[in-house]
Amino acid sequence: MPYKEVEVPAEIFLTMNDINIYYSYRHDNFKYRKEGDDVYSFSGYEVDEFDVTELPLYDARVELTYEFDEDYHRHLIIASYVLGDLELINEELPKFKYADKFMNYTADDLGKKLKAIVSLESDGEWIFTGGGFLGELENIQYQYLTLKNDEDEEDMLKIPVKDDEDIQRFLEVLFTLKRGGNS
Amino acid sequence: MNKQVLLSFSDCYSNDITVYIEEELGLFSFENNCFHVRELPLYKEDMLEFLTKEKGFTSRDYERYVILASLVNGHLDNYMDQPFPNPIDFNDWKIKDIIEGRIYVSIQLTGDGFWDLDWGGSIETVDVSSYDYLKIYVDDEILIEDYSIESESSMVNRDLQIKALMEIMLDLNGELIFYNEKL
Repeated sequence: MPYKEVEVPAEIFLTMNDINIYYSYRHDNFKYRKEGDDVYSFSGYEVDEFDVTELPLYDARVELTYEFDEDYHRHLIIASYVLGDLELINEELPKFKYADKFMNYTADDLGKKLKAIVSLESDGEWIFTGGGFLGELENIQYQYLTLKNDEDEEDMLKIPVKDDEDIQRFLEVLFTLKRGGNS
Repeated sequence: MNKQVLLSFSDCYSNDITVYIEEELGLFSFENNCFHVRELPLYKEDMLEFLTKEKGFTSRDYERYVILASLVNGHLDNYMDQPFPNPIDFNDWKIKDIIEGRIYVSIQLTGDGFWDLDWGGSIETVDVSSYDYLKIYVDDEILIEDYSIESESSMVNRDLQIKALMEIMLDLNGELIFYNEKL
């Protein structure tokens, strides 16, 4: 039975700001499987599914440069949300307030108009000398990235990130591959 | 009624150890077995006075440090289901043992940092927002881990909190907390 009308315990693929994107649900009990791996959902309902290859920013050549398709899909979905493309697929999605700003940002704005802040967890050796202090950090693990608008000091976007390369690649998807930019 | 937790951590075998706060003042317990903090050999009225009157600690902070210190010294074994597995003996400890690195303290922390392309796409410095968990190794073996450093008395500098705990645990007669510049 397809799960069109039944809410299923779908697994979260990505949380950006307060929006959850789910994996499309594949479970034998529902005798229902998606073909291919490009389908995600806005909820635990089948009606809310969407295919990432149908997003305007989708570029199969870029996808090929990623080791894991899911990493590209994550970057693509976030960039599509930020640039206002995701709202076109799902009208109930809360509108991204800063889409106009992001349409105008370039990579050069990073660190100036656009501040990127990484929240992380880490280990550090505690040194007894003096008042006691934390030595060099080890095992730094990035948790999420917050993009702040420098003029208003507002948190615009909060997304999960893995490491520096992950951030760099996301920014490439966001900045250098804007709509029409790859034609 | 659920008892309030005073402290919890794991021993070197990853067994959880939890100490609860009882209703009667100064009384604490492991599930069933109660003990009085003032009866512990490491409990020192003058250290309590010093920390609360001069350094801004609460008496609850002191109780927490003394109980953790007593636990790892094996002073609370009679109240526990199983004795603490690899106790230290505070009599063995001198400041020079710290200098020689017999004890290693590692902190799990949360922080954030500005991410910029200027540093080859990375963060330059990390701003530590909290110390979350403490791990202590003695002679390269785990003494305790996952000790949550939740400081209700956030008035006290977090490095001083750790220093106070080490001072009490190794019973250094105030040498660590007073004459730390020697190190």
